[in-house]
Amino acid sequence: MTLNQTFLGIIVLSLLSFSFSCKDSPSPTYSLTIFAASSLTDVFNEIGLSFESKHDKVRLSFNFSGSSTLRTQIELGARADIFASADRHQMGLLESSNLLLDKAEIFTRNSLVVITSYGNDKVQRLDDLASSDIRLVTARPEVPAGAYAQILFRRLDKQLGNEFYKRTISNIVSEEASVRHVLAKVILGEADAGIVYSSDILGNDSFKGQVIPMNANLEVLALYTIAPLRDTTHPEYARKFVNYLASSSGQEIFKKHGFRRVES
Amino acid sequence: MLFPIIALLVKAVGVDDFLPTLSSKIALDALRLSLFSSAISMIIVILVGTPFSYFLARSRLPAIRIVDIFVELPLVLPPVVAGLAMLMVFGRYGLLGRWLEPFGIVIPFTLVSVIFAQVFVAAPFYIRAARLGFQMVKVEYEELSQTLGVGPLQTFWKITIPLAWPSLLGGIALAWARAISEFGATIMFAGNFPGRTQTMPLAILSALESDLSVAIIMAGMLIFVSFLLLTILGFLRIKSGD
Repeated sequence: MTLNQTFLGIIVLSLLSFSFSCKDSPSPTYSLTIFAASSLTDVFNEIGLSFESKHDKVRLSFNFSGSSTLRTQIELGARADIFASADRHQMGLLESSNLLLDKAEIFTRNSLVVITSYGNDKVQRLDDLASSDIRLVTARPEVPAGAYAQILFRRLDKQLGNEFYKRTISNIVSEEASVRHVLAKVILGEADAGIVYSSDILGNDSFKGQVIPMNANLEVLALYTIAPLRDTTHPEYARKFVNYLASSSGQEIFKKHGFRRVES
Repeated sequence: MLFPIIALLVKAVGVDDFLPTLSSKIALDALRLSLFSSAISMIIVILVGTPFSYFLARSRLPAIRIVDIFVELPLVLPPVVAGLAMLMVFGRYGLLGRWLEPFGIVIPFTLVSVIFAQVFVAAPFYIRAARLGFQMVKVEYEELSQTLGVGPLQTFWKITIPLAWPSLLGGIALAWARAISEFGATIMFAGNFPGRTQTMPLAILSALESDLSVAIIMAGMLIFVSFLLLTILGFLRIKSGD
């Protein structure tokens, strides 16, 4: 058998096995695609399982990335049923392009934290973010986590003065595409400090660094918004999922992952 | 294959803010960084790659096959994997990085890491082409030159290089194109910061999320620059082929 025939054989076999595996699985009737902020990765995976167990005809698939990336993908025609953003701004952009089915609602909250890499003694207090020789990583300013980080730096600038903002910004060595990329750079030890959400490090075993304590008046709260998209093929299930997040069992899962209840 | 490129260029020229965007700081910074880093990368690739590929071409050792696999590995490796691998070497806790750090030598997130990433992904393209080029130069020519009293180094310059020239140029064109379009390894290993490590492909992705038309114009710019480079190299190749 020549090499070409071998390859052909492999292709035919894999196609066959693929078609068989399609037949074997019980046909899922409705599938929902959810584009969600990367900080929602763990909590949505769990909520997804819980939702699927209550609606056995629905199969969920997630696309996690920076909210701004997802918003761009949706604008450029990516097919999705639901968008969950880590802020109101990215959602607002979709709303103004008339891509939402319903008005967006806030479904959970999260607070911003400054974290340091394992064994790092260069950053121990918030002022240290501005000292020279620090490698700081944040998300890009377009990404919600990056925009929130900017708010935090501005607040600290007002409180500490001494060109804190300018000096801190000059310590940023990379602007990452999502908050989880920021976390990865800190866990790898490549960054001395990073700005992430408190939920990102809760229950994350690979993070062994410190969380820098912060006064309550400095706290930046991220407001997460969600809405079914105009082009969804299953509006009724999309709405069910959105409502499920607000339900007590949904909120319980958020709490478990370090998110905060929405004030009613 | 041509259609998407034409569509993009038409769209780019059609955007209202064509000229202001073209001369905006972020676009110019990214372009300068792309051209500068890829030029340095190519100098490194040529300086190190040429003698190395000559050695590969002339070697008769059976073990050379194994060397071959390692040389060509970056060709099949996803660039993100390449970037992660480089962090494992030069990162703060990397194999070499942890020894360099105490001396104040930091490679990730710097221009040096941009260049390293480009060299890593682009070098195989040049080495492959150069090796094939050198293999086509008959050993007899080199031996004849040396029996006529010309030294080995001069033979290499006067005989081997000119005969392999078209292949070398072809290799340079491919490797340069690969270096300029490098994205995955760079974003992993060098990060993304405007003016420092943000090359054109990274700037285009960032711009995509703030202003689509800026991204389109910068993409058009990158196509134009790549086209220009390939044309110049192609022209040199035709000239040397005569």
